[in-house]
Amino acid sequence: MAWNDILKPLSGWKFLFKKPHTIRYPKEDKIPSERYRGIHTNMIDKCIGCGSCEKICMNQAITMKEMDVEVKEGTTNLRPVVDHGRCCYCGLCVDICPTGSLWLSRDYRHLSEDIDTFIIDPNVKEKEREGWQKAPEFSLIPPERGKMEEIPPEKRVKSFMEVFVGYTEPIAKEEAQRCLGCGLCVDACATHMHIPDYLKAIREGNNEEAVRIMFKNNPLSEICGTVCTHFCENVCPVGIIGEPVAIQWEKEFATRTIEDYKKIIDTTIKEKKERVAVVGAGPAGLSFAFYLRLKGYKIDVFEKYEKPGGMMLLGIPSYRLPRKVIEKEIKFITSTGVKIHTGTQIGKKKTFKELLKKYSAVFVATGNTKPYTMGIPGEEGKDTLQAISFLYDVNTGKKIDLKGKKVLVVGGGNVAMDAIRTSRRLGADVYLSYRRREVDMPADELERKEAKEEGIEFMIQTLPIEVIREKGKIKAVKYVPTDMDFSEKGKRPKPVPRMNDVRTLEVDIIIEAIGQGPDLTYLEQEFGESLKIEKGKPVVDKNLMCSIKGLFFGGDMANKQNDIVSAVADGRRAAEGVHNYLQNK
Amino acid sequence: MSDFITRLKNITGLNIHKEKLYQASLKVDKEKIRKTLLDLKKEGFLQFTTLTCIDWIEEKTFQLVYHLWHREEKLHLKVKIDIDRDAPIVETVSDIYIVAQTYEREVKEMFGVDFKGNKRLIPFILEDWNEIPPMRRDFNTREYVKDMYETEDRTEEIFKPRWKKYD
Amino acid sequence: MKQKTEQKKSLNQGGKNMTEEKSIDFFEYFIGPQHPGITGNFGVILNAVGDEIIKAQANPGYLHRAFEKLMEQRMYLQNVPLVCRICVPEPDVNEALYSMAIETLTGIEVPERAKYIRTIVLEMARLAAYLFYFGGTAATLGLYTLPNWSFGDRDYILDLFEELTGARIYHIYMQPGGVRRDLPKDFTKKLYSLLQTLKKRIKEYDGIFFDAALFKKRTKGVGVINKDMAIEYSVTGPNLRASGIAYDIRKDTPYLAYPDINFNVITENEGDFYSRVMVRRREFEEDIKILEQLIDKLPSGEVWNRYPMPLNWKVEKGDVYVKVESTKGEYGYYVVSDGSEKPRRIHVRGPSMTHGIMLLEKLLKGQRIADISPIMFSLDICPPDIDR
Repeated sequence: MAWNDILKPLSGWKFLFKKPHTIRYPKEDKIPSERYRGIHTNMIDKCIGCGSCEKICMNQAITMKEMDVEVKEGTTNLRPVVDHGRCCYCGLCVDICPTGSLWLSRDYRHLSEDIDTFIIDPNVKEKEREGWQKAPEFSLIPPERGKMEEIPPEKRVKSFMEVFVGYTEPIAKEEAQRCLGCGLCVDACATHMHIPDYLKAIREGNNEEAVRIMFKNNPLSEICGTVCTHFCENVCPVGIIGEPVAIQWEKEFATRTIEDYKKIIDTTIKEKKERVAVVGAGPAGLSFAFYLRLKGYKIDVFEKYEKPGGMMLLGIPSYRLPRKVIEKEIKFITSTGVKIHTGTQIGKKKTFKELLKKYSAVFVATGNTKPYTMGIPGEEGKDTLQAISFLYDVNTGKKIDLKGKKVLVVGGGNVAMDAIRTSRRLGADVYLSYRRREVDMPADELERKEAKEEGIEFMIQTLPIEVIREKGKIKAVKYVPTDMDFSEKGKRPKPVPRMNDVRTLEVDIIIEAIGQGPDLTYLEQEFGESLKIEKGKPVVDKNLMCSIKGLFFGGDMANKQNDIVSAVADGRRAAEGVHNYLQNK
Repeated sequence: MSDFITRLKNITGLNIHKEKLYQASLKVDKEKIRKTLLDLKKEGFLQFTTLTCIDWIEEKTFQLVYHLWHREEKLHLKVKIDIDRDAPIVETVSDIYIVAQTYEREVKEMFGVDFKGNKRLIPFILEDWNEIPPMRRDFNTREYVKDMYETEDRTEEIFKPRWKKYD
Repeated sequence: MKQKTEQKKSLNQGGKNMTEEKSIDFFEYFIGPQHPGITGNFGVILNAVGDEIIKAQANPGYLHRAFEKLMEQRMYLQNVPLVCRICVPEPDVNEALYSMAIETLTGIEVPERAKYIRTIVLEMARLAAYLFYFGGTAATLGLYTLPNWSFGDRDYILDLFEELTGARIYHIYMQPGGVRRDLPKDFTKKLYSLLQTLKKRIKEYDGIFFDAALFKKRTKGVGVINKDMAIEYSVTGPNLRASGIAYDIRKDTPYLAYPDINFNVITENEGDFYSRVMVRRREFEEDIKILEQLIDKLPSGEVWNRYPMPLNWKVEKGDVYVKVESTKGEYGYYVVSDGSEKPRRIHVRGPSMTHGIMLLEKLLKGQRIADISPIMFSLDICPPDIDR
């Protein structure tokens, strides 16, 4: 023991007059660090109410409560309320929040004798005191969707082979894991397919169960898996972080693995006496027939053309929707006992009135068959084609040669996309004229991308004003660029043509794809004033019945969305409506 | 490490599987556990790291995992035995490795496995416990907490699908 | 209470019987459970004759939170905020171990930079825990200057933790596949300057405590664990090194960034109270060197390789034991997965389970009552990891 050791502790005295480094007089508040995890704050308008924070919370501290907020598409009126007595301030809710509306603030003090005050409504209008907040690269949701094999564009344009490859099992399972289970997609889907349920079945490897869930709401699931407008993916909150869950492709994968639906779906039927007629074997007619048949009614479907399928068969090119898929689904529907009479047009020999007498109810879903025209000088002529009749000709096998010709397609919807890509496959040089911006196009993003890859020139923000003809044949098109007018809020911007900047483009053929409406000629002839029509469409109630008893309308001719999935939804709704009507008759 | 495992196999006649992270596992019969651990201790496994019990309720077995560590050869050996869940009795190893006594006490309390020969299987952590051993899979914590503290459990509500309204 | 009281009653009766048979008078004392040291609620039941302890019985259970059971009922990611709560003075080892176990099971690779950041966090936590230990040890001896100093210096480390992770004690910073955020701006600079401060401070600690005659006289030869005993009782960590066995998991089976770091394994030979404190005191300086190297070698790049969406995350079937060197000894996690969204079983092997029950009981026998608290604290027993 050295003497030194006894004296050494005295060295502590040198700190006697030093400033203390932890306790501060007068008291100073410590400013928390930038990443501090304090009390929750949530931007009420940015939050979409998906409830992921509630699900990830390990302490059940977050409760989603209904609140008085504006419910836009892809949102709910649920907003989080946090019990800070349970919260452990881990910030997992912030890391999983797809919108970044939720963060942990730098406030950390709350003192009260009342326990109830610890249940804090964190919803605010403006950003404040941000602490731990969302960092996109550390989001708990994987941003990229599973990769699907692609066919190179050079190979694609050579034929009408299918361009869609589809998922393989491991990738489908992995992709299904990305689902948050929020159900916003179910709200957005016209048929309200139980998407999170079947994604769960897919990731568990139970494709049969997945298909069973799908067919509860949609008997054309595989068709929808291939060509749907997928509003579900548009609202998917995962899409805010990166790419939305590939719901459509998942559906296609699951249905593709099932060879015969009859084996896995229970279609035992208790027969009823009543007979119901369906006019038009398109998506609406088929889904109506299927669901009403399951309720036991006897169904007769009348179809004008030689094959059932409607616009799916005649409007959509086979590279996008292979014919075997349509056949597979229709075969399943007919196997339940639905009778389809092809080549029978109602309105000419057989009248609607006859049908109404013979059958307990009639469902009409003949679709939009009358195309709109531009109405510009020089438009009329043999070489101005309507997109739907053009596609009909191609799909029914009529030989059309466009090799070396210049084709201008006008429009920006999916029909326009089908027209340009079909013309391209027939050998033409294709231009697309659309009057708004590309982001305003109703056409699918993937379609647009693939069309560009195939070498189609997009003339965005242009408007044809005149067709120049020489000896009756089209020589060129005069067009002007347009500007966007954003003055009307909440609507798509209005195109304003720049009339002093006229340009010309030499073309041989013009294809118009600017929309179509229903053809109600026969109905008007038969029923006259007693059938109420508004804006070119028959007026229907919530059961889809029109002003005439027993006559139901659905599909494109009655709804605004004009797509397959809405038609299917109409069919299902009308089936319920007809059932209710006949039960209460 | 591989050499050592081969040597160990030759000496003890045990079927040892090499695994990741300096680990190896070994499955023996319940009756042989004492002999095995005695042999292994002689071979230099001087550190008794821990004893884990896993409840495989579907197969009606408890799996006991004895973790041993060999400092010189850097090998973590997991010796596993399966015991019947309905009659969970096994011989103690607390005289081979002294610290095993505490771990056996804990397993006895949490899983109800009896260790024949352990002199000190007195209560360890729990107090006033009248239910089945709490770490068993069939002990429902949520129900217990509900009865005991009258709290609400919202698990079902949280994971209830919102889309059932469309059925 | 019933079983415990019965047990206690029987103890009392045992006392009486013994008194009658052997005619020795002894008192039964209850030390604790209200924080006998500063690490948590933990009791020791003593039989003492005069000042000499003839029998000691550890009495844990006051911090039992059923974490292992809870973890079986939560999704894999939801356990990350839970595990750090197992040990208060040094929570980060739990996060690191849990993440390492899941990574080994699933095969998720950890980016190089994340490994370094994790190591920095672990070493910072080690410094903080040692400062805690120094303060606690001095306090058990009745020297209250050092705790005031060391807890204050520990707060500087906590400030840095707050900046890095957003929290002071329970950082919830590591997650399977890496860490939750990258280092903030100027973090390494601030850490470096703090290390320089700590280097100076530890010299000042020497003056008032480690070199002090009072401390040496009070602690040398108290609570000796010799080599054989250390091996017999499966002692790990600094306690083992204090008995002269050079064994450090960071060196023997290196994990994270430790393979790239040069450092010495510190040993002392006596195995008594003094050695146990001095091993830690010398390691403190060694850890500062490790941190300086880590700052120098810190690579750039990603800090997280993502795992699947946590709500639907299933971990592959299998089991794995992972371990790290904590300030208290070998900390281990044994994770068993049955291939579902929730773990089948997670067993936490805390170092205090071996040190705190059997070893403590053995060491206390024959000691004096005034030595209980110092001996207990010199072993760095952390009751929360006994109870879990």
